Amino acid sequence: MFTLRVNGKAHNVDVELDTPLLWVLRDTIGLTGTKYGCGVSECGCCTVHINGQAKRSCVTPAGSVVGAEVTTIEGLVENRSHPVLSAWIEEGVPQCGYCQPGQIMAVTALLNRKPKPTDADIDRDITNICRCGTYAEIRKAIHRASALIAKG
Amino acid sequence: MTTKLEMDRRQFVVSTAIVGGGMAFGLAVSPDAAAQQVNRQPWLPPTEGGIDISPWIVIGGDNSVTIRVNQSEMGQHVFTSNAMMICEELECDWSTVRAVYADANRHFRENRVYGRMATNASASVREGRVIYQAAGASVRERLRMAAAQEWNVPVADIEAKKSILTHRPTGRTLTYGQVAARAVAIKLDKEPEIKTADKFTLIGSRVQPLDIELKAFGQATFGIDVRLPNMLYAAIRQAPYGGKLKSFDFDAIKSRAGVHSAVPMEGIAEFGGIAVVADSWWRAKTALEVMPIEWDPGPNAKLGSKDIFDAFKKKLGEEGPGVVNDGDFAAAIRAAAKTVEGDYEASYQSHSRMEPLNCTAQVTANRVDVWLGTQGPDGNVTSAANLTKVPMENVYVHNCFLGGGFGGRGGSGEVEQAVTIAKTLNGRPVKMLWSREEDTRHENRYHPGGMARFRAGLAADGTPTALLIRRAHDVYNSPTNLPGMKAPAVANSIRGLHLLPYGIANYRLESHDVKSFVPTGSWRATGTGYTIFFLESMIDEMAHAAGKDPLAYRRQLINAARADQFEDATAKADWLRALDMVEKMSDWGKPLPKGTGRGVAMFDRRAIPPRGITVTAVVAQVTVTKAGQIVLDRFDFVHDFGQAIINPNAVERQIRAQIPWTIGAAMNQEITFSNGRVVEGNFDDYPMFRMSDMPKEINIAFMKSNRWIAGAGEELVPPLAPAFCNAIFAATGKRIRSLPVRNHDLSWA
Repeated sequence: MFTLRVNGKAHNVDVELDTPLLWVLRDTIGLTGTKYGCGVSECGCCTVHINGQAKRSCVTPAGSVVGAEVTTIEGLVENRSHPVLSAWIEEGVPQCGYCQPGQIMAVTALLNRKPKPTDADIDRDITNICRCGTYAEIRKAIHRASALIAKG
Repeated sequence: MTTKLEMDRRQFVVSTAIVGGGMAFGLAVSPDAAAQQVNRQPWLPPTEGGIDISPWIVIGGDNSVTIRVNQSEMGQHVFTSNAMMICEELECDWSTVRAVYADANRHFRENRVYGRMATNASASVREGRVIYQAAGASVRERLRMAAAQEWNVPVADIEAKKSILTHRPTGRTLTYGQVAARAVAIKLDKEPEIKTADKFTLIGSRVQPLDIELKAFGQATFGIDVRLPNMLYAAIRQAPYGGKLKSFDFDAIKSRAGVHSAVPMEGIAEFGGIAVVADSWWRAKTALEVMPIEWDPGPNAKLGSKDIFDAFKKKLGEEGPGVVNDGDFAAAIRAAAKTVEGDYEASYQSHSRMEPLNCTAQVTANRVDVWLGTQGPDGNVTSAANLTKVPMENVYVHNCFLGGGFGGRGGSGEVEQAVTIAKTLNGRPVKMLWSREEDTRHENRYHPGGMARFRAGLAADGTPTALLIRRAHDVYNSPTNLPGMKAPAVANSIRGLHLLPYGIANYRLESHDVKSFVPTGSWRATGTGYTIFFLESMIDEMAHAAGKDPLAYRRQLINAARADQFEDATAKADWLRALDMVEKMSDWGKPLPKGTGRGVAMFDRRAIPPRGITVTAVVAQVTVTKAGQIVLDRFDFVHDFGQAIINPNAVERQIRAQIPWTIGAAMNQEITFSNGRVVEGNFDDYPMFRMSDMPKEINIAFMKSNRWIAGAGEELVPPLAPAFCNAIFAATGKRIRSLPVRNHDLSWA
């Protein structure tokens, strides 16, 4: 049994320390907004924030984030008017929607670091896979979110 | 085994609370779910209660309208487009519209009331529109009559608009919600006419999808997200194709934490194998990985890609059954001034949906519940009933959001496997989930590979006088239709080649079915995904051999075609119009630097009437670096608009999104086989298209026409790959005759 801090709350979990954080979030704690796509850090569906940094939770052992602050899409959505969420809705980004929580978490971390990313920054940083192919809308939403942040 | 339940409408309103939706278990629903336009659990209505005025429509006391949608939401925004078609006629206030899945259980209880529940073949709008419009119009008339009865005035004086009924002479009003209970009992003598496209007020507007917020917030429930009290988890491994499970040693893993049982899955055809059940999926998966399993590999144990493609190649050397035989190819090729020939090849593909296949099932003595994202909930009811001997009336499929469909989701063994496992668990629910590797290596519905040989004869002026296309391919769902075919659907392995849009006097199409051990099935755009790669590349080769501009050459060949080579009266003119449009918008002919080139391709779906067509034209512009790296510069699309498109917003997104799907496959994706098994396992060896691969510029032009288009979710998959490969040729002089492109060295000096 050990304790994880997720979205500002403490959760006691009874799993093996090497269980990937993804499965602890989804199956133990019940936060299913974080998705499973590949299990090998290729697709980014499982992206969460660990102390504000984007991390792929499918290859992050739960035991390695004891004491860290984990934020999932559910935590981000507590602020429904978050600029990234607003931009995502205004641009109508999602198609099937499955990869979108991971995309949003990756983009939020990028914008925290770099509030005005260039297209090259986006190409380099946003490597999450969207099988529906919403990349054009994602790019537009990132620039829109960036503008919303600049407006404050 | 279906029982038609005769219930009058009032009775159904009462009983729906018990059987409709079929939720025997309380899933946690957050307080904000009630405010959504689609429930985060989309098999449940967003708001409880209301008057069940039609199988398609519920009118709430709050004057909201809930529309039941008989198609599955997999990214095409079908909740929105199908609701729009009803709202258009119902004249309800769009801001009060909610959507929920139609219930496959009710479908069977009420004599297949929801018609076509399978979501495939671009049919949601094409085959649903008239039904949806009629359902909306019928309820609107009943509401008007109810208001007329209420006020005792002529129905002709009642106007229905924005969910309000107004008595024109007096200005009195009633809401839909106020008269819905009365309208339930009203039967119309005659069903009203539906609107023609010129009368639409909602259809054609750019509507924000109803479920966009749910999806952006991570609140949409996909099959993988279903959680039930006391639920177990299962990880599976499937038997090699043609083989079966020989033995497994559960004792080796039974003491591991959380492990519950191992369940052999047998009697479910190619879906069989072994499952490990545990109290979490991770524990189930890791236990499965270390459990000793012995397989009987069956007769395919030594077969690989080389065997499959060698068999295709052998057949390419043999004259095949002539599917089309226009004129006299043999004589014409002998008389030709010049000949061009080559062999084309396309790889096997996996769907690789972002959400790996899964299904949650609960089986008790007299009831079965399954939860999954499925393209065929009605078929799933039948399968679950057959496997459990529980009558279909007691089988409930709770359709979820689909984390990608693209053909065959729900029909790839998920239900059969989950039900087989659940049958051993004494009523406990179990969530069965494939790992990504299982999903890539054993997806059960691969897009089949194949080859095509062409031989063309040109006259001295470059005009094509003879063309032979000989296909040798794995069988796609069904064997090729042979001569005399006027079948309802042309076999996927030759569709698009069976009726050319080009005037070539002596044309022969031959087709060899070469069945491999690989199970195949529908993939976005089905067989035309490769037949049009072959055809439009071949036309380009002929243009090059003729010394003609490939776009101008197409114009010449379309002009030379007979009218009956096109589906409807205006189609030939529309092909020419689309070509003119794409020529202008792409700056065709404008000089480009060395290493950069443009390619063109066209298609119209080439379906057999009355399934309809969608005329499309694509110009791709690419730059190939000296090192052979491909950069996508620009794509220009012309897309048939027909008389109307339900939601242009959604269609534009589908158009752009077909670049990653199609170019990703053409560039990098290939499923290969070795020792009877798929080699690739994950996105490291089956690479996906990513943000950085996107073209710098995408332009879309809609082309108005007289038809209703056939669809909009997969129309560009066929012409995109050849336009892309033709652009590579224009840039480098290297002709891509086999996919994927990554197998070719494109470097130049």
